[in-house]
Amino acid sequence: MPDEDPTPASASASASASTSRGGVASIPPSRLLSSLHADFIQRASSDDDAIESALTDHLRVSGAYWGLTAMALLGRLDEMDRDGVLAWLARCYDAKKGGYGGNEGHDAHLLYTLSAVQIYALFDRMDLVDADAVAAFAGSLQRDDGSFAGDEWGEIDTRFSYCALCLCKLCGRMDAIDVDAAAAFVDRCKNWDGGYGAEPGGESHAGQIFVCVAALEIAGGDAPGTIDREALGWWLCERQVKAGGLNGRPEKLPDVCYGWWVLSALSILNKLEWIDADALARFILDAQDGEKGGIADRPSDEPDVFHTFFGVAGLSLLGFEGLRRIDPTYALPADVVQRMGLRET
Amino acid sequence: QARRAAMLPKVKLIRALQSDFLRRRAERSYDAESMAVSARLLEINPEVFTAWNFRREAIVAGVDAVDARARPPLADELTLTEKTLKKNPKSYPSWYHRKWTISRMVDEADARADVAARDATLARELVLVERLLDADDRNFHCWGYRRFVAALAKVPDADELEFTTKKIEANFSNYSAWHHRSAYLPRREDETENENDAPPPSSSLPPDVLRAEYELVQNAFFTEPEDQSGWMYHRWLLRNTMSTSTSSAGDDAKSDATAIRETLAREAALCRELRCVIYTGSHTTAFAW
Repeated sequence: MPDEDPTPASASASASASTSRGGVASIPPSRLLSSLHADFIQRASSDDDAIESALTDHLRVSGAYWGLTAMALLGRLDEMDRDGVLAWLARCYDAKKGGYGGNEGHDAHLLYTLSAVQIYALFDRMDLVDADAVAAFAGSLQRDDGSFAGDEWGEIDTRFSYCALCLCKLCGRMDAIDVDAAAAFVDRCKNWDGGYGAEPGGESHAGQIFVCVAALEIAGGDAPGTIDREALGWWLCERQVKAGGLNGRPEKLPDVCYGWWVLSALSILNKLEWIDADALARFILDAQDGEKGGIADRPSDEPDVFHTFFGVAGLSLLGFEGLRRIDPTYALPADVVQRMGLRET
Repeated sequence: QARRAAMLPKVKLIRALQSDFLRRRAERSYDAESMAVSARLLEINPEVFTAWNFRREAIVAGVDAVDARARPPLADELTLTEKTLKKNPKSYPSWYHRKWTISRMVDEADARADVAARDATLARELVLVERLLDADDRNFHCWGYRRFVAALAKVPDADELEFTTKKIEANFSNYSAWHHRSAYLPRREDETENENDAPPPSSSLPPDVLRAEYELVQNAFFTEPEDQSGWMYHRWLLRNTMSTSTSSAGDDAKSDATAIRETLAREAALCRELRCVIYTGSHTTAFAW
């Protein structure tokens, strides 16, 4: 049965997480190396000579969203070059299609269109988005069965369902898509174990579960009621391994990014207390690089912006002191989501 | 650092290659040289999906070419994706491009009524899938691609079931194989299904099928009791057992309840052998014994 409690999931989740077994409240906030991470993100955003930068050029718009949102959670968004980012984002826009590419010259795609819209929301510059065009782009990618392709070439994935629903909601253009059909398709991706895959019949995976649960939450109405909350909540909390980290599927290694995918889904389901918050927080903090800053996928590995963002986001969801609260559905600071009128309260 | 300095030439090469490709892409130059540039870029970085888009545009544009020799051969796409998948078997754009290419090849064979070509194409894909699953039996891209090919090739459900049995018996810690299996088990005849979808996960399995699955999963427990896969599948089997009670009434309900109690007792005894506690949820307490 869907919870009747109207309290936003993010608010109640952070309250329960900080009181569970002493939880993250028992960890000194200074253990999070905020200044080092902020410096790491700054350096990474301008390090063109690194091989990692060259190999991820095509997804830079998402990279910018990860870096900027992480800085926002750390309370340092003002340290970033806002005008520079906005000018560059505009150059990533394909006005003929109504979508954004991952970088200048790259083809428009739903993934980067969502990231772009999220950046505009973060900076409170939604006025720079052509909401009608962007929503029409998303609408044009919806298929008869309710699914969404990522672009005109037709790859179907529930990640794209989330992208479409999320960006239309942020733009206030839900009428551009068939929300009921979108929710029905996501429901068809529900598996025997209560989880969700990329397409009907696809194996349950924490990343796909996050996008499906969040998509159903955004769709609203009867959609969230189709989730098998008990089975899925259990499957998700079983992702926690002995070392405290979370994996994405059974018998896989823990990874800091699942500290977001699993946690945000659990948060939306109001079952954040089903995992050991203290153990997870320690796993994420152990994955920090004490010299150069940044967070890696697991302790002792190389840090990157992606894992730095998801690590900080995970800690935020756990109620870690000193971090701005993040909204689990929109993956933006909770106050941004509230400012945009997307949450009651 | 020394590593950074050593990598710098490669970084400059990649950036130059990408700039060159993006310029050609912007100009929509679908010539042989541009195709070669896109291939070189993709072999280094198959994630640059714009380059895959470009190749697809060239193929689609080439279809209208009067001279058949001017059409980029689809076989080139198979060669290229095989290279990129070998290097990175988890590349979404590589998998999608191969799927797109195979779909076109099958459509073209069907248009010529060339059954032999269709069958040969799909048979070769099944071999590729088997090879990649041998290398990593948890690769969900590969399992998804297998579903796509098996559907096109109209592989009987029983054959797919047999394939999962083979994978499970080779390695019980194979959640992906258990998952794939759940979609191909024979369902109760009274359940209506849309043949394009996986059957709804809540539909019941016939008693004999359920019994066989309990036996299969038993092997998993005794071989690898620490592995989660078998236990999670077992939990699903129990839910199936429990749900048989809701569809009958009167005397049928009584005998169903007895059968359920017997199943639960048997499974509980099994687990006591393994010294575990099974979770049966709130359904048992709701039963009138």
